Amino acid sequence: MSDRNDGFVSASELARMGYCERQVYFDATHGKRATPEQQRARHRGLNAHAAFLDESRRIAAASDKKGRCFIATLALGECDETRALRAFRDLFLRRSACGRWLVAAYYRQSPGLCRWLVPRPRAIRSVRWLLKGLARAAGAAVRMKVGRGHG
Amino acid sequence: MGDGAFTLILLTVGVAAAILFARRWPPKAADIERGLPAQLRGAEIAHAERTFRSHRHGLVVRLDRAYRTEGGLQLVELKTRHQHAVHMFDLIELSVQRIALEYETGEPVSDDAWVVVQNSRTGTRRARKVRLMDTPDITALRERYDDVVQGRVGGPAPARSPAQCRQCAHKARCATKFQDRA
Repeated sequence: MSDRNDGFVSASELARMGYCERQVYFDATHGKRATPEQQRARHRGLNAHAAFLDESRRIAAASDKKGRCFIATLALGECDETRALRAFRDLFLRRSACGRWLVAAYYRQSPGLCRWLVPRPRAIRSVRWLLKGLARAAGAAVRMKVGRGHG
Repeated sequence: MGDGAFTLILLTVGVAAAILFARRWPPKAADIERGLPAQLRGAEIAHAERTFRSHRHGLVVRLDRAYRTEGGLQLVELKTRHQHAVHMFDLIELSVQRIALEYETGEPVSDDAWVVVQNSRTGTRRARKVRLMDTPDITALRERYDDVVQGRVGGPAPARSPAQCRQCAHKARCATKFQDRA
């Protein structure tokens, strides 16, 4: 990652200040040097990170599989509204027994409902209109809960 | 052998097979979430291996993982080390990540983050919760970084322990210039 060339300092570069300021100084004046042991450690780190990223993808895929909003995805596609509904599910519904029951009931019923909707474009339009309204409300609730507005 | 004994043997073999199967075939979700704290298991990954920048602070980060939780985004950093230890280095790195992530997404990031240390010998992982540094501290550190790099700091701080110098490629140069680390 770039450091001083574009005016940005990377997190790992700045973090080296907590390790040894002299090393930062010598790297800046004489160029970065790494001992064979440091190179091996870096190689180990890169391999571990590749595996960690692969795990991240698998966790995300598993989460998507278990929590896909079938009807919302059918009616709206993958967009801000579906993400708002998903966040509402995670932040509100999954935190109570009643909410979890609702989520489970939704996942039980929605594949059948999707099959019914697919050949009925007018019904999909109505569902889309309804879901957009719900998504706006869900988005507002999520923003209130996480206190968006920083930055 | 009577029917009773045969049934007992069959039952024992069945139970043993079930135990072995369960031990050798852990659920995939548990395997891919190994080393993670209970709070983050099953939580949604909001970002993974993504770059964020804060133009205001002149910082760029590439974060390992950020989970979306009730208390805001929670950062997770993976480290491979010989020992399950967390250092100041990790704290600074994660605190910088928080600044850039909040700046670019506007989404609040939790004051707590996790360092997952993977033992480089055994491969086992352990998670440690850390409290992140405040933004003014990081801003001050960023300014000091510029001073150190530009040579405006007369006596840049050495590594906390001389043992840390053993692996440094600048060891000889440092000993000549500062004469306090052999």
